[in-house]
Amino acid sequence: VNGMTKLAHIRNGWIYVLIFAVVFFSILVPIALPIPVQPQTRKAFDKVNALPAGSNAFIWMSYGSGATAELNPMFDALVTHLMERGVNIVIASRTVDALQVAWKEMQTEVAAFPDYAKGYGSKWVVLGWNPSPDVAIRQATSNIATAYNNVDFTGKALTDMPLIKQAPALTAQSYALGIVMDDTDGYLQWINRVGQPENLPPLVGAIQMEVPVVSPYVNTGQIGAIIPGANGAAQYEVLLHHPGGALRTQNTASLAALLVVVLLILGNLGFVAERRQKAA
Amino acid sequence: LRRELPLFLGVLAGLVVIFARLFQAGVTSHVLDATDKWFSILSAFMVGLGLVNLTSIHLKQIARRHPNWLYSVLLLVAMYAYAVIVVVNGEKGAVTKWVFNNMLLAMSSTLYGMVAFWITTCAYRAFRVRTLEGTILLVVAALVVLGTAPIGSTIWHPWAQLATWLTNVPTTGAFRAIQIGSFLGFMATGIRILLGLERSHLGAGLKQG
Repeated sequence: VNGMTKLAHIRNGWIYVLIFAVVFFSILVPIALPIPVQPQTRKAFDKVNALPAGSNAFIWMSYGSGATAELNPMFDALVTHLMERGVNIVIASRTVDALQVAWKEMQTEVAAFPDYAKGYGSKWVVLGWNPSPDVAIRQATSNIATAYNNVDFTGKALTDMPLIKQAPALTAQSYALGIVMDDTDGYLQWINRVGQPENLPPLVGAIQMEVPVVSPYVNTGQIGAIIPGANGAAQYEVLLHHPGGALRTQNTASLAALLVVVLLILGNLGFVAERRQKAA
Repeated sequence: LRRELPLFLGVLAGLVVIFARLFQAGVTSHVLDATDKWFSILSAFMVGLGLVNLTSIHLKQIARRHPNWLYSVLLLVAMYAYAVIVVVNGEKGAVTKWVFNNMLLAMSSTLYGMVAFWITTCAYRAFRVRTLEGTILLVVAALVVLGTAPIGSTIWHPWAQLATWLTNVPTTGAFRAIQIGSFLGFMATGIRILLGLERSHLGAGLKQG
């Protein structure tokens, strides 16, 4: 019993070492566990898959650089799917970080699609920065160029770009789909400022921690679909037949989850043993 | 008047925006556009104000040799060095991009990654079978942790569906209740500010001097 009680008091340092070992091992030894696709991810995939070629999608990046590990693979999978479908993409950002991230990721993603690699301005655009992004997204429902001071990320005039000429306002008439990549409450701002007034419920790519907060809005129809966290992104990559960053993280997620549960069991065995020892 | 004028301006601005939002047509639509523009300008101004505020606070920490004053030095050096880089090299310059991609992104992701270490140690210490409620929480946590990773459904196929159900139904229900409660509180505070009953944002209740 004495030995068992020690299990209730494992030092933090040892737990850190165990986590590090698990992460390191999962990177070195890939284990291809099956990824079952959940209905909510399939719904999100089907929404993008139903978009006709030549239609437009608007992506609102609403996450800080800290969430890039979880949301970048999801963003990559979504834009790859949109480009495969021949959908034009307009990207705006709610954070300065995500604006830079979007530009960087797009440089990599468009390389596989010659139309998009040569088609900046006509196939895809990254809008410039507005220091009041929640206001800008509302103004975009009237005029995108005005809302973003008529500049894109590179400083070029938006009014000269064929894509913005073709779809000048963020309305359901011009945009077939709105996507919010979110780690805080961007989905809520979209619902208030775009979703409800323009009848454009978004597809939300959320971090796992945010899923229970976002889900009520999926049930009410104010959010069209949700991709839940890195696991959802991995499911999306499975559906897309395009293995990427999210699938690579799932080994680590599995082993880390197993470690957490093992520690919970050990800690509680120690706790019960300690309680019995005190009672005796 | 030092209190009354800001209070009056705040109430007036609040009422204008509320009415403009409620009746988004004609004149009110133009009012909303105007207030949106003011908000954009104020937001940009607030960034500058934040810079001045941060500088003032941390210069005081350094001057008083506060126990963690070296962190204040680090913060000021990093903040102004990056500002200088952006001004000299340009917003999209190679050095600016390099600092952002190789320092800021890397540090943010590292900090985010460290959460895994803290959560594991916290879960290990907090989830104990002390009470019935604690035991339920422990079992649900273990089910969701394993169910949201591929290993859950590898061990037992319906595990992922169970975790999704736990997240989407009971957890979402609880969150919905919390959200409704917090929004009601938010509205009540808004009404108190508009009626002039809530004055803490104007410094009421704080010691002068």
